[in-house]
Amino acid sequence: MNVGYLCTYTPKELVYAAGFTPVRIFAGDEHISLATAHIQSYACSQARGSFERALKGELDVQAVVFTRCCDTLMRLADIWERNTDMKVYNLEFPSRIDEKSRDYYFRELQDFANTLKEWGGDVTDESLRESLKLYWELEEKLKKLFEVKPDYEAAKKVQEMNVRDAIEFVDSRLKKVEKSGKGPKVLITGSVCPFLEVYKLFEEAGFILKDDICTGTRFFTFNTPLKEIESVEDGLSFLVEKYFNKAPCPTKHFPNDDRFKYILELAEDCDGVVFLLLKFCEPHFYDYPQLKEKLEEMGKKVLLLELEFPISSYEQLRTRIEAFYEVLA
Amino acid sequence: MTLKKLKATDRMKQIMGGYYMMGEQAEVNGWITSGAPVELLYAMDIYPVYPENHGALIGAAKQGPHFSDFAEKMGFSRDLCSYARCDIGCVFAGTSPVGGLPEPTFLFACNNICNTVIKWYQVLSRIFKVPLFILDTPFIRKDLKESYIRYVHDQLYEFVDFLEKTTGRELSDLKLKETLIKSVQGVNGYSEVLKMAKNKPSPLTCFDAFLNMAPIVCLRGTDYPIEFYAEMKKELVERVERGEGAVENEEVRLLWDNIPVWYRLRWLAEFFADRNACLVADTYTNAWTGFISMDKSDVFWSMAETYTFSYLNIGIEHTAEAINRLIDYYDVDGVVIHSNRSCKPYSFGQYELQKMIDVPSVVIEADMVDSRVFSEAQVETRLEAFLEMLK
Amino acid sequence: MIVAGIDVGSLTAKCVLLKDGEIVAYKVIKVSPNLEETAEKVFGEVLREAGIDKVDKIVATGYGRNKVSFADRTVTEISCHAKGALFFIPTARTVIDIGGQDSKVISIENGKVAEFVMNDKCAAGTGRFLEVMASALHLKIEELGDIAERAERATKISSTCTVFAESEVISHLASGERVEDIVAGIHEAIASRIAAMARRVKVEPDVVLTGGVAKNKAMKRALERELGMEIKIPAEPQIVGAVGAALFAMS
Repeated sequence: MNVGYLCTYTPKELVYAAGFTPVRIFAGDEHISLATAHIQSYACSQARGSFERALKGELDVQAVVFTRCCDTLMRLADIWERNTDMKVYNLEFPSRIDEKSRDYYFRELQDFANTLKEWGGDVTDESLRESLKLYWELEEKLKKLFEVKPDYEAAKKVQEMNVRDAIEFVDSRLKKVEKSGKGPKVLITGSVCPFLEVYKLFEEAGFILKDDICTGTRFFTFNTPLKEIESVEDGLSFLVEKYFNKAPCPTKHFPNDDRFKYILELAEDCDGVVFLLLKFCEPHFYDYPQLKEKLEEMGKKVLLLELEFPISSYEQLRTRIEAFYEVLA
Repeated sequence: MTLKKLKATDRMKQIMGGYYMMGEQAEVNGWITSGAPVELLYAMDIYPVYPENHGALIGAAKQGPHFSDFAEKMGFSRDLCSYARCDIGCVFAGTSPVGGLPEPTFLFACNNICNTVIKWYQVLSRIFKVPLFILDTPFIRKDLKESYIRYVHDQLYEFVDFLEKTTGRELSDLKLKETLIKSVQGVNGYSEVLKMAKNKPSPLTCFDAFLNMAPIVCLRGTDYPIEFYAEMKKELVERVERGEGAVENEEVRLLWDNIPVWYRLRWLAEFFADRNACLVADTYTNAWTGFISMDKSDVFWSMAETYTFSYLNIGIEHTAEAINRLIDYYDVDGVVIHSNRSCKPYSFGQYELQKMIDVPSVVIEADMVDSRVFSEAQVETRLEAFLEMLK
Repeated sequence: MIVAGIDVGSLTAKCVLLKDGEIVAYKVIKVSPNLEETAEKVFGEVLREAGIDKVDKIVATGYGRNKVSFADRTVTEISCHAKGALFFIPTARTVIDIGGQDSKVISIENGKVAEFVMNDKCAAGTGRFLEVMASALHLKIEELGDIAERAERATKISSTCTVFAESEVISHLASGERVEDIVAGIHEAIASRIAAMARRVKVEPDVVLTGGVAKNKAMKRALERELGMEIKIPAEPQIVGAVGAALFAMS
């Protein structure tokens, strides 16, 4: 069984350990039509576009896991359940990421493991140990690949694959990858962007890329070294650790404004920062003005690109990106 | 036609005037979200400031676009919640229709109404550089799990520590119990007022309910709502005894869904009254009647339960059930659904709800405060057609 | 009994005279900025054509219905289109009207409106969208249907916003797409928008398409493809709303 998910706070290790294949759901290239009958047009096109594919029968997934990342996805779970044959589960990832929410998240993971069991999957000490190891391997390899040169095509593809195939795939890319040349370095920050042409536009303009994107580095940046586990419980505790240390996302609340600190640190060796934001994406748009101000205080040039999926005019984007290059170069 | 005014509304304005004055004098205050457990603040004599009520007030004063513009100029997107935009805009503008809100001692956001408040209050905490407490209430899509209540319960204790540390005051158990009792009494009194709409003709419309809801939101846990709603109820009982409806010739009874369109409250009230339609109830004000099931042995547990199972924090099956209960209780013929651009958790799922509720419904597109997205001709046509269909 | 129905839309005004339930005259004119004058003008022209100087009752409908001060009462275009569609096609169960700035899908049960949906605030999926696209391509709106019929394939228009779609169309032109294909793409974009809206109500046959756009064969076919259903067009699709209004005036 394939288990779909939209948010990188979904503990896919557990899904895999249960014998299922976790598959990331992206919005498609097609015009959004069917979804319009179920959710208003002021929902972001990631939500509408993903749901559109489910309604069109394009997704080979039999279950979907939602986490509480924003108001839209919180509501989408019910709408999804009522209009598809898929099983729908909502794992209530805490909105507060701190000491106080650890126990709670542990309980949520336990409940999720039980649900996976109801779905016919079984998480054992052995299967969880194996799964944690495989994902660690995949994440390390992706990190290595991105250090040489960011490969958004690989990042996207592996999210739709079985983790073993994914590792093999990244290996093949590692063999071929060549270091990017010289040019101004830009940090791209935002939610999801599975449309690879966008990254190509940046490369074609002459930029060296670095990103804080949920379909890019935020997918594999966890900052928690692999630990040998003794039991499933032990493994769940490790997952709490792993997901609490994950590259922070604006949908969560961290003590000491960790999210801002994270971005400011990432931006340090960059010449400019591009906010690649999806229209109607509240978590990112609330952060934007104050984050922009802080970045500009650091002397960084900032550009806002507002996207809607599917992307209809690459030429408009190209003009903006090239102009930004001219500003920085 | 002229609308029938409730005398109580004048009294409400006095009370709320007093509430805003209190804020100017308060030594410590916390900015708080509308669905948060304010009882803890009142029990410690901490003045609660309600940016959402402030937003509604700005909307009703038709100042939404004006104040929102201050935030938009700073880079806050027009697609963000208009309460948040107005609130942030007023901070930059340094004023508002009530002269601006007092600067916060601390911020307190509970996400049982939306996830937006977390982001909004983060913005505020960076502006004012004051501590922010987030009360995280898991979304109850299906069952209310014990682990959810436990999590919220533990956070409530943590919040008390936070309050004591921030203000240097101590919470007295006795004072908290007293406050909670007042809260329950206030909520019951308010609930009785709303229930008067069961009468045919109904002595009040949802517009009366909207106009007079501020005390239960802002002053819950004090004596004011208890007295005020008792008085309001008396006036409504008198209307019922005289056989007088809020709308003359009440022919159609309707239910309103979502936050009011504040800048069009009067226009909408007249629109329906002119057509002998009475909006007898709404899901918004009723959201403040469902809660408080007070088990005196463990008030923190009760609070956790109550504030987690709040109207906007539950899955669609629960919501549909709640709406159908209102439809049945108030015997309504149709539902007017406000698809509110500013409130995603309230609005997404409405198309599904239309299929789950027991009577016909119509959707109008608007925003609670931002009048720039309101199209009079479109709304009028939809509503008129809906009434033609029901008759 | 002689009655009149006047439908003042955002682009055109229509007036129909009924004598004992039969259409005796009708007119369609372009709307001028003064809606009241427009209504008087179209009414005057119909009276002249029929050779009468007075009617028993007048009902106004459409976007400008409240500006027709000489009408006895107003009824919304939703009720009028349903009634008018039944007059022309008594088996109608679903009415789709693509209006100038409002499109609607009406479902009919037992001769009455059972449910209806309308577009949200934006103009995609309305006649206005076609108008904007026609002008971007330097074409007349009346020609669009015939041009689309000559398409080899339909160019994908993915923007839902009218303003963005306009620049998308221009960039398709710049990249050498055939005008015919682009026009076909525009029709598909509207049809898909309308079909999406229609899915919020029950779409049951017979489906009737009303409004001036119904004369456009390419639009009819695009909608049929999207809905997977045959669509019927009344003899005079543009005056359906006005006929409905006149029928209300009779009762």
